[in-house]
Amino acid sequence: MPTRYIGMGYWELISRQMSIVTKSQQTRFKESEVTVIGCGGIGGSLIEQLARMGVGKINLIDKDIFDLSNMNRQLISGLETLGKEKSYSAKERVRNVNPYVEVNAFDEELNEENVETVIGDSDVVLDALDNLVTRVIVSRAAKKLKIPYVHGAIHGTMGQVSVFTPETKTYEEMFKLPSIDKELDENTIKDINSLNRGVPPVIGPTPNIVGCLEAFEAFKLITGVGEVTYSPELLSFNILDLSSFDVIEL
Amino acid sequence: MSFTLIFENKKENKELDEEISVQDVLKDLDVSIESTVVKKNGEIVEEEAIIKDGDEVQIIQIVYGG
Repeated sequence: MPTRYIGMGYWELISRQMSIVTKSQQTRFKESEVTVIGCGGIGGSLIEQLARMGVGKINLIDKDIFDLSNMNRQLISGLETLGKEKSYSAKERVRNVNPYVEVNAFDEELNEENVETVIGDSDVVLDALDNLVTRVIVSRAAKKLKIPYVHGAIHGTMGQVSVFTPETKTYEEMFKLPSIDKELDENTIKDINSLNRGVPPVIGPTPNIVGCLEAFEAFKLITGVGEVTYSPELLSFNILDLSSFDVIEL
Repeated sequence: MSFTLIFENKKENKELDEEISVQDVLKDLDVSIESTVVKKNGEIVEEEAIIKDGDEVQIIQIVYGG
């Protein structure tokens, strides 16, 4: 970073949003720690928006590397990051757009063994995942640790966002998953996987809209501005028809 | 007899010649029960629920990808 920006740079960087939040609200965001699970299509926009809005610390986790088929939608993918780890590339992206953000990147898969270590100290955990089993693992751990869990998912041109806390309906309850009240053994995992088999279609704008919306749900949760879309409310949309944007109660 | 079907943000009136269930409607639309939540007159119902004259059935698609 050029030395002339050291010092007051953080506040200048986020200065254009200061009529939306007060200094004390923005300070809360500056001092907050969030975890983003996944650095792909949803994660790319989500991480970038959190960084640009001035979050204090981001923990990132993804075990994958970027390939050519990611480039129709995943913001951090490009010629410079092809073949590179998504987690470390995301960390570099954050350093580029807001060097005041502390980033902790894990190049590994999130599972029942490491989930509490990864999300443990977070104020909010954000879902940028592409599979149900890990969503169940994350949502259960977040509830146990009393951390709000911001969920987002997509399919093709459809997207959805909702926020879960220990006081709301859980992720599994809201979507009536076959794993409710069960241990995540081989049979339960098989039942869950049957809901999202195959490689779903996806096009550029869909995961990026979801990523931006999730980032702002976290911003609202932490700063206290605006209305959070708590479970069982679900924001749902299909960009083939913009009049479909709606918040429904499940 | 008829019922109102709300699907993919479109509201339409459907003729009801015989007693049908939510499952029949989903089958007709080629939509799986696992990827939907169905509301009948504002209440979430199971796929066995019977649709009657004047009911409003809303099919909400749930997504799991990323």
